[in-house]
Amino acid sequence: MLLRWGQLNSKRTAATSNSSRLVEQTDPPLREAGGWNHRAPLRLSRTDLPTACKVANRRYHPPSQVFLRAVPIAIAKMRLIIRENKQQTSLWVAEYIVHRINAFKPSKDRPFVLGLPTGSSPELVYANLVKFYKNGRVSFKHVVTFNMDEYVGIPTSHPQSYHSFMFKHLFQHVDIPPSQIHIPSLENYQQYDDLIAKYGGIELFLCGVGSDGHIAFNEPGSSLSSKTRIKTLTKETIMANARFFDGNIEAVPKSAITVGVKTVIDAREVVLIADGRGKAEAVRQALEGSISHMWTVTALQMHPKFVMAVDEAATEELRVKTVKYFKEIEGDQDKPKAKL
Amino acid sequence: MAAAAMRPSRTESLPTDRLVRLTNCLLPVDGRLVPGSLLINSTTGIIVSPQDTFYDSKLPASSTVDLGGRLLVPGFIDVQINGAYGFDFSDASKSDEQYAKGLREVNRQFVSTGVTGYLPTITSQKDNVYHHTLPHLGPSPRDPSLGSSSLGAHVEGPFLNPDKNGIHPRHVLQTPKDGLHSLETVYGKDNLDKKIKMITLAPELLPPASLPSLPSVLASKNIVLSAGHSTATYSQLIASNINMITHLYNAMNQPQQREPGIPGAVLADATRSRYFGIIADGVHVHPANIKWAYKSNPSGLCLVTDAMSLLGLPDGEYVWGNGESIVKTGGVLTLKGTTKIAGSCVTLVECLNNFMRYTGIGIAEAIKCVTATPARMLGLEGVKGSLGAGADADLCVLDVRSDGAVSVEQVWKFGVKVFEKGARKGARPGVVELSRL
Repeated sequence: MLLRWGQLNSKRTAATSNSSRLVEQTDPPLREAGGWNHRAPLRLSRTDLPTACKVANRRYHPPSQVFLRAVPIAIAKMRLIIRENKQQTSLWVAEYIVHRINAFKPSKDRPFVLGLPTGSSPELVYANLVKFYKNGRVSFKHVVTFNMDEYVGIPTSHPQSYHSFMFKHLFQHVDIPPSQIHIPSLENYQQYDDLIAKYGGIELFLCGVGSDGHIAFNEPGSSLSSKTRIKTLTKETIMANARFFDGNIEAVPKSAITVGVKTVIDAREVVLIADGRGKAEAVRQALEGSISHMWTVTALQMHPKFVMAVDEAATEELRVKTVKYFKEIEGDQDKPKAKL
Repeated sequence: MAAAAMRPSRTESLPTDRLVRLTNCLLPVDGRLVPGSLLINSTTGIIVSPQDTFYDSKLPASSTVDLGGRLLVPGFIDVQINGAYGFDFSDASKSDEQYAKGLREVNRQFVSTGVTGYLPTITSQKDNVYHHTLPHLGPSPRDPSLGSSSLGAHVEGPFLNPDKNGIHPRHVLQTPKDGLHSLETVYGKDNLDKKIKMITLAPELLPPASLPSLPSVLASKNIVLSAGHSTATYSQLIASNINMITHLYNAMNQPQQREPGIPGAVLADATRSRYFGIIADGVHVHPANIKWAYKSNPSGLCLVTDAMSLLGLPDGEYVWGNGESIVKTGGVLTLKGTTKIAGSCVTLVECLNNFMRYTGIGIAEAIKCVTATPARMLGLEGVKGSLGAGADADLCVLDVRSDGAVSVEQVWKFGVKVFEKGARKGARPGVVELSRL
């Protein structure tokens, strides 16, 4: 289905990709970025255009000045990738990230900007990325990373800090220069979104999801237009995290710095990984629920390029119809070389 | 004590620093060998955290050294060694210049045995010997080119029990009648404050009034008080507050059914951090006793060599001070024509290999007895004998032979490689006059 100006993407549909059509001419750097325009204007009403362009850090041209020409565009599309288990799911996600980085052909002047999470689901993705790096399939030399969150009140060298997690599972194993890494902190969080914009926005944001549907530390009730900020952690989160601090609730940080829901949505692509029965309800809300700040993950329904990678267990709360639909559009997933 | 002055002036790394990543090696972590790498700062001479270096200093490693899958362990610490390579720390017959020159030479050669830090030990001597030698034996400056570092002197005597004198001449032994004052008189007050790290004495000789407080008074000067050459009973030792024993089993009463003696006091309660040196040369202590001691109090065992100045010299016949000759066969010294033991000249790595054989424990656990345990006993935990960030980059690269024994392949001192096997100068044979005794 082709999208027209002013039309909201209310239905998800099999994309007729590679179609050519008339769109607003973009600034040259964006066209060079692979020629694919996933930017917000495509799915927003005309009145939203100035805001959308601001968000995308581009100048807004009123319609009278727009020079129209044909360029290929990607159609807004949601994908659900279902794999048998956690291992298969993380392998697919790692393959996909490697595919995206390599297709982007990043360079010193045009790095691939990657948003990164921590947690048990991403851990295996990182292990696979490290393996692919060691096999020479990918390089992180021209990748710039932005992590989504970090605790406040524990030193970065603390074994439970997200600095430690990222160093342990990814950064120490690959060729990424330390200067290209960003993790939110008390010092930088106020400029964090500006810094992301300076790099031209995040190309791909990898996300996990909490069992209550939170993305980053945007717990139920967080504003869907929130940006990077300090969040006080809920009692439930502190209790749940105590297991990482020798069961000592006193030792658990009481607040964290996190990117906002909007920071995630502003990325040109969001890849969300969820595995296990514990995430099934969050997956159901993300796919079948209504957009609500009580399940912050649902905000991603508005995203033009959103990929969810889940294992079988995480689909257990979904309707059969939903699963069938996505399986159908993804084609035969049991092929050894499944599509990326 | 100059321990604070021995620390590097800063712990963070600067962009101008030379960082070295030692990779492809096995590291002892929590009693197991794990493959990994270690990042050291050759400019400040300490081990640095790769994570802090990455995030805070944003520094990549300047060079990488592939260790070929060998073991990387902290440099060894020997808290009781009387001399090496023909140099006797108690030899006061030399002039100050000769003594200092000889000591420098020994330190440079001695580091090849894997011992990166040690306590040069003076046996029981007349007062003037202490005054002459101790000023040279204080903690060494932070300089990798100097080789092995003194961590301060160990004075074994002269306040020893004449009944347990071992080979210490009885006529020089003294009684510390005035407690701390006696110590200051014999060793010299300045030496006591700045040069001495450990004192071996027989606690039963101390006046009852000074006994309970003396260990803590000396601890405030960073000096460890050790009981040895003593007839102290189990209860005497417990009451003495002394937490270190010099060469356990040797020169003391052995455990009896109703009087466990010093060994009983130090081995029966592993929860109190009591330490003990043990000579694992296969001659001084029966292997079963070593195993017994280790199983009873594993976190207190410090392997020591108690080696004499023949350590490091080739096998052969050497002239003893009084005209007799001693024969060096490997690590064993015997009086010529007899089977009488005339001291040890075993290296610490040989002791380590013996120790592993006797106890059946692996290198990852055994290595603590020559690194972390003596460091903790000396109050240098996390500074020496450790692979943790902030510790001095004193390191050994070990090769493991098929029988489980290890050999020293490389030695690093303050982040600089100071010894590599194969590049070693041959020690020359010769007759060495041993002036003391």
